[in-house]
Amino acid sequence: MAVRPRSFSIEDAREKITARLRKAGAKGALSPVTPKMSVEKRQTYEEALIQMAGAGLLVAVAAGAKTRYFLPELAPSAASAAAKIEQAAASKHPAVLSLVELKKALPTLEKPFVTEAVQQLEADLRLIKLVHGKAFVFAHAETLRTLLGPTAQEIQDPAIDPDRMRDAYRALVARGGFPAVQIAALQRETGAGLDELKAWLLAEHRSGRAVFGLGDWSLADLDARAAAIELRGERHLLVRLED
Amino acid sequence: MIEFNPFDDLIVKEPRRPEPAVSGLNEQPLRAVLAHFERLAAGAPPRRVQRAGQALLVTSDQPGFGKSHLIGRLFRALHGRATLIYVRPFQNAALAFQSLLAAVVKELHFPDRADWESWKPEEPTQLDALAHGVLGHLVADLAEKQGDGDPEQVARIRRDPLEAFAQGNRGDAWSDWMRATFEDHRVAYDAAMARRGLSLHSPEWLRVLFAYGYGYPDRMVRQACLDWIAGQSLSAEQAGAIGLRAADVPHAEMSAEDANQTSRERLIDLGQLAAFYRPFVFCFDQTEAYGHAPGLARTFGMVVARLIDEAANHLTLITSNQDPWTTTIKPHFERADAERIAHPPVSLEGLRREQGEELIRLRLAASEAPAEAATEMLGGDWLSARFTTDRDRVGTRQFLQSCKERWEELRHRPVTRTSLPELYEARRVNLLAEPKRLLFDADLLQWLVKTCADGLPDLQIASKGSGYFTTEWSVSERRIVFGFEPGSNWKRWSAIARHAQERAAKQPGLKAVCFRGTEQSAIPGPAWMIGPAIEEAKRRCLQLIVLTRDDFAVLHAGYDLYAEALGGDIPPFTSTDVVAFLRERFAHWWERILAPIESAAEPVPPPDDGSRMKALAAEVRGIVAAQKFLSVEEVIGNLAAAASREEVLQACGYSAEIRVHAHPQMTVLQWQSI
Repeated sequence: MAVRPRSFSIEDAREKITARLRKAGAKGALSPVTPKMSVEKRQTYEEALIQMAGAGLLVAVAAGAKTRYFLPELAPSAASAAAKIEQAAASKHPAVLSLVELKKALPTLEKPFVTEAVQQLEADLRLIKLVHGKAFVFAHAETLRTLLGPTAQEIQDPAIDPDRMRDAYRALVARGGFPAVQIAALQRETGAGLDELKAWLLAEHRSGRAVFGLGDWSLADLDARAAAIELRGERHLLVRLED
Repeated sequence: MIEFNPFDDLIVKEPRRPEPAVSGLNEQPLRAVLAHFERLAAGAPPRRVQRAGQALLVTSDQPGFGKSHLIGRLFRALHGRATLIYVRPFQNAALAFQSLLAAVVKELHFPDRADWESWKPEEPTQLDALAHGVLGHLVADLAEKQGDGDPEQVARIRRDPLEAFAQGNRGDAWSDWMRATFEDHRVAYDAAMARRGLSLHSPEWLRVLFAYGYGYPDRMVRQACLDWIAGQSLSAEQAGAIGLRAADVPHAEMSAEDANQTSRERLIDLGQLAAFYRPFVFCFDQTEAYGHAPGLARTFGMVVARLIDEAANHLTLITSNQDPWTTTIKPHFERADAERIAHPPVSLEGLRREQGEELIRLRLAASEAPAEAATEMLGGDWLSARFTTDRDRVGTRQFLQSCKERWEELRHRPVTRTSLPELYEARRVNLLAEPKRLLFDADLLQWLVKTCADGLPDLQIASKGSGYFTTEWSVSERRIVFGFEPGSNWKRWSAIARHAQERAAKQPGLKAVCFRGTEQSAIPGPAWMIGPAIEEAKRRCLQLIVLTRDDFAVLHAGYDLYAEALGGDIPPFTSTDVVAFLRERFAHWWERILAPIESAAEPVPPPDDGSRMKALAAEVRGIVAAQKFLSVEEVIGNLAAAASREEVLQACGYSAEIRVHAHPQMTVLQWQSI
């Protein structure tokens, strides 16, 4: 039986595109179509790119006049842009930054995500939006919190204010949706001293008004671990305050 | 006297198995989920096509708060009222909808009831009930529209379509009438469906449901229907058997994107058709696995969002521990997809002291422990050390671990932590009694060659897009590519064999490996004209590994252990510990896969017609029902003919009342009335 030469199929195009994207990694790759390519091969590649984008197997990002392609897990996204913006805002403190300045902190490929990233950071209270004249400017929230430290009221009265603590707890629950909140988050929210907070939470626990949860130690950052309360030989990262 | 620790079982391994529930524990979360379901199930079918509400997220502060237990209670509460789909994580983002649809079709082809009677071959499957529900209500619609039907007869059809048409059996007047008139009335049925607001992607659904519902006992016809519903291609012969033209079935060489898209459309259509039967409940469990693969996490969010946006008549439930959800899963979702999940989540709670006491009593009663055992366990101030106050809460698994240790201490025995090999073996033994799991599962096999094999010496693993072979191993100069084709279409297998040979021609020494289950038809089929060419490919470069039920139990046990470690369910073991253990445990699998094609002749397991197992299941059931509590070895000693330990455990899977307790030294079978 005569063997017919095999034409360049969509399947082949997809395999080649996938290999190219994997090799390119986070830098992304340009379209595999080249001017010297036959019309048939070019059409096959273009169709493969459209199909793969439709199926979520690649992400196309416009970069100037050209389009770059990424594997979905390596594509620039609002989340990756948000991390860079937050870092830039922290490093520029005490300066506040405009949206244009925040955008400068991003590589070209992530610039299209600047608006979504900033909205996300605002919603998560990681970036504070302020007004200066007619312009909006942004400040790094965590740096401000640290800088402000405890309020004058707290300094005068280092004891924990239970009402304020419960208000902060309720705010965290409303924001995250989970009745168990990180002890570290409660400390950040209230600015309370960690030792005082732990002592108060343990007293509340003994009174039946606080229940501790283990959480996931392997996923906890250093702040969360420092705020953990040890009970019955186990480290608890989370707390629920009960009425 | 057999004695074992009543607190050994720390994990719900199979949500459908009955587990005693502690009063009040997580009652509120259960009620919240049920309330969402009630909206879908109001009134009798046929119901209107209802948009799905937001997906529900069930979370807990820490592993072991009872997520799987809650799913079990939910499944029992909804038994007979919903089609319950338990979904484990998919492994290939490009085929996520295909994986979900495969789980749906697998479930639909099982009878509704999990008891002994349902294992009669003539017992209707859930797909029978759906098919008769759709067709029966359409007949009733037409009769009402034309005003020429007997109202009592119409009411009877509406009440129980499956019964009214005698489950499609020949010889019944209504059933025969349906057979004789289906083609003539089809256009009118389509119109009736349209009047009810259904708009299906494929116009061939009625023909396929008719062929399935009225096709018993023709296995070929029913399998062809299942393949079509699962979005797989059919041969011309299969298509002809259910009255479809070649153009009506997916193309044999369809791409992965097309296969996934077809699966998505089938799921959407099934959601609409559920209006004639009952809603679906999709439970996405073990989601921590997505936290280790951003691409999969993103696709998971997309799958949930598409279900909510596009599929009707279903409730989607997601379970996750709080920290992995907030830090490693949800951050990878598109914002719009995340908004398809209800806020706030349904949060589970730990045990209060009084509930802990009740759990102890329940476990002791279930194991028929002597009365004084409860006094011993509950005496002293041992419980006070676990619960600071009466309002304190402790994770259920954490508490059971304490109980297990106290049980041993009271008997002056050392408390030993269960080792990984023991945990693995307990899962394997329990899985042998879970017939629904011991079937071909493409996601399981992808996990084996992608995740479990990762770290074998000198092995590089790469995902290779969406062709027939989606995973590639490079071992020194050798290449092994893997395909996970679930169907039995000769054209598709012909293409697989051709692709394997083409790639082997380009890369000498390349071997292609595909998998089958013994419940699937042999490749090549006995009447395939392409058979010799496929056999030739098998001699040169294509290895077909046929897995028995025992093999699936082995692999699923490994997977379950891995998933539990990811979820923090088997501390102190991590997923890395488990994979390292499994890489050694599965040495024979790696040898089998790495063997050169010349020496890779696969043993052909005997055909699995089920008759011997049914007889054995009846005998085992009789023995355990009479003696209530005995070891597997004792059961084997009481059998009329010889049977292996694995066969006896598989036989237990056919009786919901038999509970398997796997302990390091012994496996005990217990009769529990349901």
